[in-house]
Formats: sequence, structure tokens, C-alpha cells
Amino acid sequence: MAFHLRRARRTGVGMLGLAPVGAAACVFLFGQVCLAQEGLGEPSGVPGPSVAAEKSVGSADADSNPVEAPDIIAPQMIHYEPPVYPSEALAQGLTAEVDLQITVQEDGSVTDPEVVTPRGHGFDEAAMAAALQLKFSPALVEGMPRAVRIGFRYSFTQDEVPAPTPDVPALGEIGGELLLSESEQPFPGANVVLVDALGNEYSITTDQQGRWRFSNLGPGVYRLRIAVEGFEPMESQEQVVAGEATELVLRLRPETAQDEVVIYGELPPREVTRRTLERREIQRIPGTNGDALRSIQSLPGVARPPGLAGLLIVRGSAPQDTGTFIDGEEVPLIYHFGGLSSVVPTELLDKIDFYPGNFSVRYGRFRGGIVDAALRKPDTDCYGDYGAPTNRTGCFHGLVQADFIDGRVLLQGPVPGTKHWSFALAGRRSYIDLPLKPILEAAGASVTSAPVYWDYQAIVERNLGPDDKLSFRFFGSDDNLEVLISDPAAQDPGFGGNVRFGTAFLRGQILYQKALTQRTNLDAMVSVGRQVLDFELGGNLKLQIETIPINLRAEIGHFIHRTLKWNLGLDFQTGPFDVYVRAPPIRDEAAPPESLANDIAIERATSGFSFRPAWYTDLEWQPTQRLRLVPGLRLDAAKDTGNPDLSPRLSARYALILPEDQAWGGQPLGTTLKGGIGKFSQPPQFQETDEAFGTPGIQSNDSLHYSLGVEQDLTSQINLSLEGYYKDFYNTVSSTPGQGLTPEYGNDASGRVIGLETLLKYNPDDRFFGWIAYTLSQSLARQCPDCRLEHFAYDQTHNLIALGSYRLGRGWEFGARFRLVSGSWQTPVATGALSALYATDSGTYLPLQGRTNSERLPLFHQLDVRVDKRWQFRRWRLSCYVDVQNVYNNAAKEGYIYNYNYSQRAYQMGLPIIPSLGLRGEF
Amino acid sequence: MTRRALHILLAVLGGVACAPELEPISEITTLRVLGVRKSAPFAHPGESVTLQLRWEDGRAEPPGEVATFFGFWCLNPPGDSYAQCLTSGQPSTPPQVFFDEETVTVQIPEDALRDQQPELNLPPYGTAFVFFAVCAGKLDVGVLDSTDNFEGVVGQDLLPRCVDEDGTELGAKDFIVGYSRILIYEELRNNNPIVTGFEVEGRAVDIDCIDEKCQEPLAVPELDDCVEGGLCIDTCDDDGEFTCPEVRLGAVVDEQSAEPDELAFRSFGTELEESLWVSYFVDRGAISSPLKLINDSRLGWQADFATGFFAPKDAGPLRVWAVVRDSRGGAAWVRVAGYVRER
Repeated sequence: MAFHLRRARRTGVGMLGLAPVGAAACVFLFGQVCLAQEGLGEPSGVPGPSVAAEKSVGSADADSNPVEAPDIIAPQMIHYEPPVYPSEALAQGLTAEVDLQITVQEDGSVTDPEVVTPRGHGFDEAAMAAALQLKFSPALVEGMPRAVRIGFRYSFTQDEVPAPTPDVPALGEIGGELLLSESEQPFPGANVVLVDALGNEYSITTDQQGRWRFSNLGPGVYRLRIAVEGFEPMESQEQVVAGEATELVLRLRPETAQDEVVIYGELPPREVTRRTLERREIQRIPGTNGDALRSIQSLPGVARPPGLAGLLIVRGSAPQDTGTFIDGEEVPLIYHFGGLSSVVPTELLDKIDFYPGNFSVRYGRFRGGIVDAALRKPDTDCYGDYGAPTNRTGCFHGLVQADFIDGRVLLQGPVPGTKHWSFALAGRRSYIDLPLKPILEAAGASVTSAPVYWDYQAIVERNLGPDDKLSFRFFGSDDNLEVLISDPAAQDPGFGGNVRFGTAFLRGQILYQKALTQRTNLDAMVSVGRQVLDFELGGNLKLQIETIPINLRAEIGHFIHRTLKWNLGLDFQTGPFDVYVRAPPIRDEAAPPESLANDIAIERATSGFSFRPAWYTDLEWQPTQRLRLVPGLRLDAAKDTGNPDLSPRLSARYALILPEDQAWGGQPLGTTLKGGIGKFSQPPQFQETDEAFGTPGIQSNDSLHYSLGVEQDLTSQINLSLEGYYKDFYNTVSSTPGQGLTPEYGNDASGRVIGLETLLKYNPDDRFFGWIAYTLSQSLARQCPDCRLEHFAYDQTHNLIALGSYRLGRGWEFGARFRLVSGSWQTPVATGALSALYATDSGTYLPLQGRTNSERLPLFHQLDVRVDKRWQFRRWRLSCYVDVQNVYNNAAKEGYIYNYNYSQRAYQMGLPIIPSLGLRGEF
Repeated sequence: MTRRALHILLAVLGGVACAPELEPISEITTLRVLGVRKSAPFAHPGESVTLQLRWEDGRAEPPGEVATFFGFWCLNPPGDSYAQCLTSGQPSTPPQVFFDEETVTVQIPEDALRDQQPELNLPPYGTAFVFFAVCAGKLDVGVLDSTDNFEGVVGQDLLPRCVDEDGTELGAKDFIVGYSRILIYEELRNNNPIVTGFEVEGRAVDIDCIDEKCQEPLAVPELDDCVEGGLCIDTCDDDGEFTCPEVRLGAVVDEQSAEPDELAFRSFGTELEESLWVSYFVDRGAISSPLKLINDSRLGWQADFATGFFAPKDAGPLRVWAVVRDSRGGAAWVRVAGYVRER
């Protein structure tokens, strides 16, 4: 019942409805203003003499006595004490209203009760005795507790009261704490409403410690409701038991619109299914160090990459078959070195669209999956003390974070002097170079540039609403290392000498979204940037690629009818490029490896202008409430291959049971069938069509995707998703030995992937989030029409991931992730007397390989745990986490290593237990 | 942090993460081939090229006679791949086969040059593969049985096998099959690296032989103590572990060995040198770096290409080999016979 005086004056002061036989308190502050509020009361249905404390009418008028006062928060009742009805008065049927003046002390206790107008018959004494047992939160003046004198009224009535009975049942009470979900800090000033079985409402406001309590409640079921602007409303049923106190700890969660990073596994209406991960989930998945893009690897359909490889292996496809985008813009890499972290920090992400297959016609040039990360709108919201939301905007926010690998900073807020413009600036740099440099030097390397990465982002955005957005972005990433390896590899001296690796990209990007009419919207993106790959290994391998990518995407959506939307878009990739390659010819994939050290290198310098335009259209058609169909068509062209690719696609969803059907035992649970079919094409890679290294004129790699699934709500909190998929790869580029130095490429390979994805997910609530994901799949490939069908290198039959995170309270959170994955396939070396040939020119042995991918490594299993602790201060927050990978130090088998002549082999072990500690401060 | 401390740290980390014990390349304990040295790593059409095969056996008492085989039948296979020589069926040049010879001379055909794809910008050249086999037993060129998971890119009918007196097939400890490639150009030449000696801790020591002078395998030297000017190292109780004192061993290589890569310059205008590296071998103790870079193709000559040696715990004779190779098929070697004496 804390009120700011000014607000009370503005909204007017008056009597509010009383509880049926409830008590109300009229609170006078210094006898000036009466702040009338719903009071505490005894619930109806409680037999016995009714005694109520009733609100009295305040005589003071705030407007007549303007208070240029400091912020004053009136005392609020924490405990109501009913007076004892004087037995003599009860017997005589007498009633009375006793007005008191009481002093609420700084500790909330009541002293010095005085009867304003004596009523006699024992009423005055009973009222004063009861008043001394009342308990309030202290009044706050400028935030400081102060003793105040207020008015209070007890009403003694017998209107609805049956005769007193000696066996009055015991009463119960319910109360507890209200906390801010993220910070676990007390949430003061929230209105807690309790509704009894007859629909009578009682309300109370939480005190400065977030406490609230309803006393003297009759036993029964009550509805508890809390609604605070900017937070998700809470409502629950609670049982009050006679003679018992029910204690609840409630947590208010900010509205999800401000707190959600969404990962769309498949996004309706244009794709087959959808999965959503909140920001909290992404940041707290153990084993990921809070990296959003690494969290994708915990979703069904995504295979575990081997070791430190920062690869995305989606539904059995090769990593290069999955495209990575930032706001619709293809970027060359999404992870820094070895997948240590992604190139965009989680804090700057608004959402991640993840399409494991059957993606819509908006995307092309890939036949595996799509990951499209969207940068967020800069946060300019203002928060009150302890992170409480307010209606104000125009505030600045900052973040500083450091862990074992990198450090990052972020600043965002409004552009000064503007109304609708906001900005965000962020940067990150790794410091793994500091410990790695001496280690590399000790290992025999001369370090020119120790491994280091950094990335940066800048956003300036005008936001006039969800349908009117103009955003300017500048972002980039850089990874570099250069070492002189003076101890060449014994198994191939070609892996020695000077090694340089550098990848960098930057983009300037403009996004524009606008509702042109009520029925038509425009979504456009244009960008230009620079992209560099610089790789050198000894004297025989050097690759330098520099491109100026220019991208244009535009899509117009128009509602032809309320059930039919037509989308028309273009997706152009163009720009000049320079390529320099010095490398030995790429061998036929089926041929045995040869030493790099002595190979004849070819050099090639090419410049040109790439042009890969695409046009697409689709219809979002909902002929009935239950059925949604999205047929689409995409046409891709490529100047380098000269071959157009036409890709028809269809996705459909059918709501077998709508939640409103209440077909599952009266529960609002839905059942949805979903499916899709489509053609997906991917152009050949540069070296495959280059006239020196490859074979000009070969066509795109093609595939057909089929998927069929069901989504079932099991409870309001838990849902289950099953999806079967089949991918048919054909026209896949492969090589055969040519008559000359370089191989002949052709579209002769094929393959297929079949799988089932299962996701049992507990959607996040105040305490817990988690899921169990299981993928069963098989991925096979054939190098030529007459070749044997073999396991694809990234085939993983079983992939089980169970994870969860639980809030323990007081800022502590504990999470764990367990993975059980089939071992990866290996191509063994031939057994027998002869397992390798000795190449004397390099001094190395060349293994005679056995059947491709015919031996599987043992099962992989690993447990990761994470503990978070947050300290919420008045204006800022400090958080710390410990993320421990491989807790029980499982010696995972990641491959084989051989001795020099391949006569001995042993397992190559994975990473041991790795703890990581992070610290973050933000305001 | 000292170099040794970091070595130990790396060893510990490696032990935790991923370093099982496998037989190291630098320890010669069985039959091994050091290399094949060609009189002309870049030959001309019609030229005779002499190949010297140098094998060694690290065992104090080798099991018996060592049989050798040389065969040249393959010229310009598709993709310049040795594997195609074994699978393409008919020989591409009249076979020249030699048994029980360690030094042979093959004749390069006059028409050995092949026009290259014009887009590659390479001059006409040829590729000749000479195969060899070394067997500490009886060598039998015939059918090789395959195993279940062996899917041969190597044709079965062209591979030799090695058996003992009882006809039991011998494995990698006693049997080595390999090849040497000869590149054929109209004009280009490549010389073998030039090894001039051997040093211990920067001080020259007496050597056993260099290159062609190493006619026979190096037997265990009949020494019972160090000799004046020879290789002499103290024993170490930790028996070749990284915790032993590190003794620096290094081949002495003439800087003239690093030749310009004429092919890269003529074809593409790129100024590079050939890469050179040295491999070290011992029959006892341990080597810290089995291979060391001598010349980087872009950065040039390396000042230090010695390796570390960690002595065994037992006193006795010690054999050391160093083989220097360049990236264009050249090779040279030096052998040292020394002694490890009681500390």
C-alpha cells in the first residue's frame, strides 16, 4: 500500500469497495490527506462476529492543500489484528465505529492509540488493544523511514453475522516474497490480489522487502494475481489451510519482448516448425560460455563437431552446406578460431533463425541448413532501482565482460539530441595470444603473430514502430596468426615453415522495413564490405582471396486477402574479387594422400566480378483456421557456373487439435502436424570450376528435402516435437583422376540422409528451463554412380542432449548439460604386413587406406556444468559464472593417431576438464 | 619460463589431453630406410639416373640378410600420382627391375616429357616413379592377400611380400616398400643438399660417412669408451626423458644447398627458394625434435637447426643419423658413431 502522494492527488482519492465484512483502513498522513485503499479483510464466509477496520473518509483535499512535498510513501499494513468484540455489546446487539489516531513508528509498530470519539460498551478499549497489534511498513520520506501519525477506524457490526459459535474454525494465512526474476531482488510496490471462491477480491501492496501477507483467511482455494506493467502477469491457484501459513516466493519476469533471443528451428508461417530459446537459455547453457551461436549445437539435428572444430553440421550435411548469415547477409564465418566463440556477441543479438532443412525460398545457394543471426535494436529502456522497469526510454546501458578467452565492452543508448534514433557500439578481443606465445615458442615455433581474434559492431537505428525501421550497421571480425614452425611435422614436412592464417570481414549494412500500406510491407537490405582470406603454409600452399561483396535483398509482402499473402523478393550477390592461389593440384578424393612437401605447386591469380542473382516468390495461404500452406519458387543464377537453378518448395502445417478445442481432458493443449518438401541447390566451389584447378561447366549440387512431423503440447509448460526428415543428394560434385595434373570434376556423386529429431522441452519459467533432444540419423554418400555407398564423414547415428538450468534463489543458478553421441567415422589404415608406403623424397610414410569411413570411434559422452551468481545493486549488476566442460574428465576418443609408419595406432584424446570463469558488470 | 620447463609443461598437458606412447620416428630400433639419393633429382630426357638406397637396422643383431628390390616401370601417371602406377595396369615404360642392389641406374626415356595443360602455365615435364622394397628376410614379388577392410588403391599383383625362413609374412619392422620420384625437365636442374659434417653443442665431431660413402649399413660400433674427437655423451638416469640434460646435435649443411625454385620463378614469376629440412635418428636415447627446418622457402636460411638429445641411462655405443632433404627431391645424409659413457 505504498503510494506516492502526487499520484494519489492526480488520480483522485476516494473510498474503494470494502471486503464483504472486511476491514479498511483510512490512512491519514499528518491529518492532511487520506489515501484510500483496499484494505485487508477477513474473508466472507467466516462465521462469527464481524469486526472490521473500515476506511474512513479523508477530510483533507490534496488539491486544496498542494504539497510541494518530497516523495512520501505512506505506511502499509503488513499485519492486521482484529479486535475482540466486547461480549456485552455482542449480547446486546450493539455496533460501533471507532476512529483512532495511531502512531506508526520507524520500525512499523503502532504506539499511542487514541480514540477520536469514544463509543463506550468496551468498543474503545477493544479497538485500542487491537490497534497496538497492528504492523505496518514504515512511512518513507525521501526514502528514509519516519514515524507518522495516521488515522484508523475499526467497525464493529453484526449485520451479517450469525450467532457466535464456540467452534470457530481456525483461520489460515498466505504470504511470502515477490522477487525480480533476473536479479532475485525484492520487488516493492506491486499490487497482489487475492480472490476467494465467491469472487471477492482483497489486495495488498508489497513492501520494500517485497513481502506481502494476507492473514485471517478462511480455508479454501484462492486465486492469486499480480499484474505489473512491463512484466508478465502472474496468476495461480493457492490453497489456504486452516491453522497454517502458506509461504510463497514469487518472481516477476520482464515481458519477453525485451528479454528474448529467439532461435527458430523452423519458423511459421513460411517454414515447417519453430523452436524458441530465450536469452536466459542461450546465456546459461553449460559448455557454451554463454555464446548464443554455440548454443545451436545443443539443438536436435545438429551434430557434435569433432574436437575444437568450429563447424555446424546440420542434419548430416557437410559444414560447407550450411550457410551463415547476419541479417540476411552471408558471412564467411560465424565462429572465431576453433569455435571458441562466435563472431557476434550474444548481447547484440536479437534473434537467431535456425533452419535445419526445408527452409523457405528466402534462402538459397545452400543445401544443408541456414543460420541467420539478427542484430538487436539498441536498448534505450530505462530501469528503476534494482532493474525494475519503467515507462521511460532514453537511457544508456553499458557492459564489460571478461573471461579466460576474451574481453568485451558494449555501450548502447539514444543518440543525443534525437528522439527516435539509438545506437550501440561493441567490441571484443581475445587474449589467448598471451599464454599461447610462450607455449608455441617452446614447441619450436617462432611466433610473429600469436593467435588473436577480435570483432566489432556498430548500430545506429531509427525506430518508429514495428513496421517502420531504418538501421545502419557496421560490423566485422578478424582472426590472425603467424608462426614459423621450425619443427616440421614428421608425417609431412610440408606442414612446417612459415604459417600464416588470417580471415577478416567487415560489412556496412542498411536495413529498411516499412509498412507501405495496410496490406503491403517492404523489407530491404543493402550492404557492401570487404572480405579477406590469407593463408600460407610453407612454400607450397598460399591462398589469398579478397572480395568486395555487394548484397541486395528486398522483399515485398502483400495481403491479397486476409487468408492469403504474396511475397516477392530478390536476393543479389555481386562484387569484384581477386584470388591468388599457390597450391598443389587437388587430388582425387578417393586417392591416397601424398606428401605436401614435394608436390608441384600451381599458381593462379584471378580477378573478376561475381554475380549471383536470385528471385523468389511464395504464397502464405491459410484456407482454414487449421491449415497453412506455403508454396514457393526460387530461381538462382550464377555468372561463374552459367547454370540457373530452379527450386520449387512447399511447407504445410495443420492444427489437428487447437488449444481452444480443449480436446485433451479439457486442457488447452494443441496438436499440430507439419511437413515440407523442396529442392535446394548449391553452386560448386571456386576451385571446382576454375579452369586451372577444376573443370569449368559443372553444375550445382542438388538435393531434395522431405520432412514430416508433429508438435504436441503435453502441458502448458512442456511440449514434444517429433520430426522425420529425408534428404536426397544428387548431382553432387566429385572428382576423378584426370589425364593431366589436375583431376576431372563432375556431378557424379550422390547421397542420402534420413533421420528423426525429437525434442522434449520444458519452456522456461521462473525457476527452470531445459530439454531433452535426441536425433537418430544416417548419412551416406556415394562418390560415383558405380561406387559403394559409404558413411558420410559427419554421420552421427545417435545424438542425445539433456540439459537444464535451475535457479536456486538469491542470485544463484545451476545448470548442467549431458551429451551422448555416436563416435565419428574413421577411415582405417590397411592392416596386415603392409600398411604404408615410404615416400623417400619427403621421408614420410603414406598410409594405405582401408574402406572409407568404415570404423566408428567409441561413444562420446560428456557432462558440462555451469554455476552463475548475480549481485543486483541499486543501479548496476555484477555477475559471475563458472562453466566447467567435461566435469568428470572423460577421455573422449576423437580420432586415431599413428606412429611414423602406421604400424601402431592409438586414440587421439579430446579435451580434458576445462573450467572457465567469467565476470560481467552491466548497467 | 625456461625452454625445458615448457617442454615438461607441454608433455604434462599432452599426457592429460592426447598423447599416448607411440614408437617415435627418430628412434631406429628395427629395419629402416633412411632415403634414396638420386644423382639427379631433376633429370633430363634420355639421362641415366643413379639411385642409392640407404637402409639401416637399429637392432644390435639384425635377423639376417636384407633383400632389396628396385623397379622402374611407371612414367607420367594420371595426376602424377604414384598410386596410379600400381592400378593402371600396363606399365607406361619398359620395366627396369633390379634385385639385391642398393645402387641402381635407370634410364629415363627420351620422350619422357609431357605437355601440360596450358592453363597451368607449367613447362613440359615428366614424372618417373621408381619403386623399391627392403626385406629382412626373403623377398617375393607376387600376390598380396588383402584384409577385410582393405580397399586397395594399390594393386595386389604388383606388390612384393617379405617372409622369413618359415614362410611367415614379416611386417613393418622388417619390410619396407616405397618409391622415389624423378622429375624430368628439359632445362631445369636441382642439386642434392650438401652435408659437410656433424656437431655436438656447436663443436664438430668425427663422422662415419656422408652420402655415397655410406655403402653399408652402420653396424653397432665396437667401442667401450669415448674416443678423441668423437661423439661422447654422458648417461642420464632418467633414460632419455625430457628431464635429462639436453645435448644439442646438429648436421653441418652448406648454405649453398638452398637453391632458388626456378620452376616457380619461370612459370609464375614468384621468387622462392626450395625448402630444406633435416631428420635426426638415434638408436638409443631420445630426440626432442625429429625434424628441423633448415631453409624456409620465403624466410630463408634458419640459424639453428640442431636438435636436442636426451641420453640413455646405460653406457654403450651410440649411432646417430641425419638426413637432409629439399622440397624438390634432393637428399643427403651423414652418420656418426659415438659413445655414451657413465656419468
